Amino acid sequence: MFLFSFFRVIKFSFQDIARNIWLSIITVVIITLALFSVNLLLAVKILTSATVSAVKDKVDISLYLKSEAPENLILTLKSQISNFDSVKQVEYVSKQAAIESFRDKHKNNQEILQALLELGKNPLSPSLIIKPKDINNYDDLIVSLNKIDNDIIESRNFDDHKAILTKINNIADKANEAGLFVSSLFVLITILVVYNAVRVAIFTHKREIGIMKLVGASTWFIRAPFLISGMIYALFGVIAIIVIIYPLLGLVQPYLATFFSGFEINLLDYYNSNFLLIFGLEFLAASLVNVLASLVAVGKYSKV
Amino acid sequence: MIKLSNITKVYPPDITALHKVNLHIKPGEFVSIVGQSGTGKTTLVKLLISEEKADEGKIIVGGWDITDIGQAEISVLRRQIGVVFQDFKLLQKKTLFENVAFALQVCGEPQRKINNIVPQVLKIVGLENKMHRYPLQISGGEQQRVVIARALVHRPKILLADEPTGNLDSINADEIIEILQKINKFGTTVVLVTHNREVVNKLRKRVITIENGLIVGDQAVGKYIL
Repeated sequence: MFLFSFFRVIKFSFQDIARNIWLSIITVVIITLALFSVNLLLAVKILTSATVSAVKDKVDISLYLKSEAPENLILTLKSQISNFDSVKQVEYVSKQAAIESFRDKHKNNQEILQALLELGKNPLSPSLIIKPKDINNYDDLIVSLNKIDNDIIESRNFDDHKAILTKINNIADKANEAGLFVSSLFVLITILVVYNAVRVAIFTHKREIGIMKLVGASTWFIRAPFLISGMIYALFGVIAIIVIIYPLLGLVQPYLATFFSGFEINLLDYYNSNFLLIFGLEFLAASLVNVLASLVAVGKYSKV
Repeated sequence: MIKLSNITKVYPPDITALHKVNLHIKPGEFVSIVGQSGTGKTTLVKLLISEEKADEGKIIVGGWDITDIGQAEISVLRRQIGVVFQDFKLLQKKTLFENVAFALQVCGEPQRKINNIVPQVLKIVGLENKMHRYPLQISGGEQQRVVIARALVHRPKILLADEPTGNLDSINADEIIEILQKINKFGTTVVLVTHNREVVNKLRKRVITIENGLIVGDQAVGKYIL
């Protein structure tokens, strides 16, 4: 008997969707629009986080060494710093490499190149470029670097970096706070819109629900088709959003790549590698809202 | 079959629909309950299908005390009573076949049995050729016949008909009453709630008269006296 009822409930769901096709289409469109907003928000969040991480990743500390420092001592120092827990990577830039980089950077500025030529010698110092493992531990790294007692170190003034880092961290924190607020607001609005769309859809069945109850249908027998319809709407909504989002991502990605040149930001890759997580969660959330709205609405109209 | 003892129903704030009503309907009877609009006839039907709860008294249907019946039991009760409503109450998005079948589907009857019984019942009410139409594609009289078919399909012991001819012309009304009489001849207890004088007088069956929530007349072979 349970199996009969179960299959009947599924049959009734599909029948109801097909026989109220316009109402079904409108409900799916509303769910799709709501999911579109969520995905738009997700894309903005991904871009903000990726940009902040990329900027953080570009931050490094330069430790300038004495001009005459022997290479073996520099390499020993490099190895010593590399062993710090808070250090991700240490790069040694020799005097020669520094001047070549300088020349390359100013290759279009003849005055600078001429001044360098007139100087007659390489004025640049060798340096160690240190990338921190976690930018939040920047202060600890500075303390560790300041503790190094080595004569070949010429300059250890890190204050400028610290100011920039504080700014970056502030921006990142504010972006996260604002993002969280906007996301919560957006998600709340989305939930309310979908919840009401489902309630309106069920409201049109108000009389029908009453009749079913009077004929002897149990509340479960009335509710179940609406619950299943809700999940089917959610599924169609997610399928529709996948069909919409992917061409859009393909269209936008080249512009993003140009805009964020130098940073590794790829929305399409992010969506591809998190496909199941993103759309699975969206399906679950949409289903949950639909099921909740169906339970409340059917419960209200089946008190006959 | 149906026993009401001291039934009182008051709608807020202070409208007494039924007051200390005592009623006993035996199995196989055909009883007409008559009275003017607003005298409590429909309230009586609602109490019998537990759409409303009595404030006082006791209701027994088929040996089952349904006075304080639980929510889960209401659907079980309704599967045992056939109800015909004045406004038909058909599911507009289901065909005639599906409307009648629905009453069996809620009981969990197998599809093979449903496919077998439903056309037979629709044949009894003369709609076997229209079973795949939707309610809006047939006349009011035909819709009422579908409702009777739906009420009959699970072979109920009791059939409650609340103003079944209220929305019909006299020809269709006569057809409906004829069908109800046939059903009664097969042994089903029929309770007809109506204010149609002509119908009641023609039936020459038991008539219970209600006025202002009180039973003011109960004649074994009665007439519409109000």
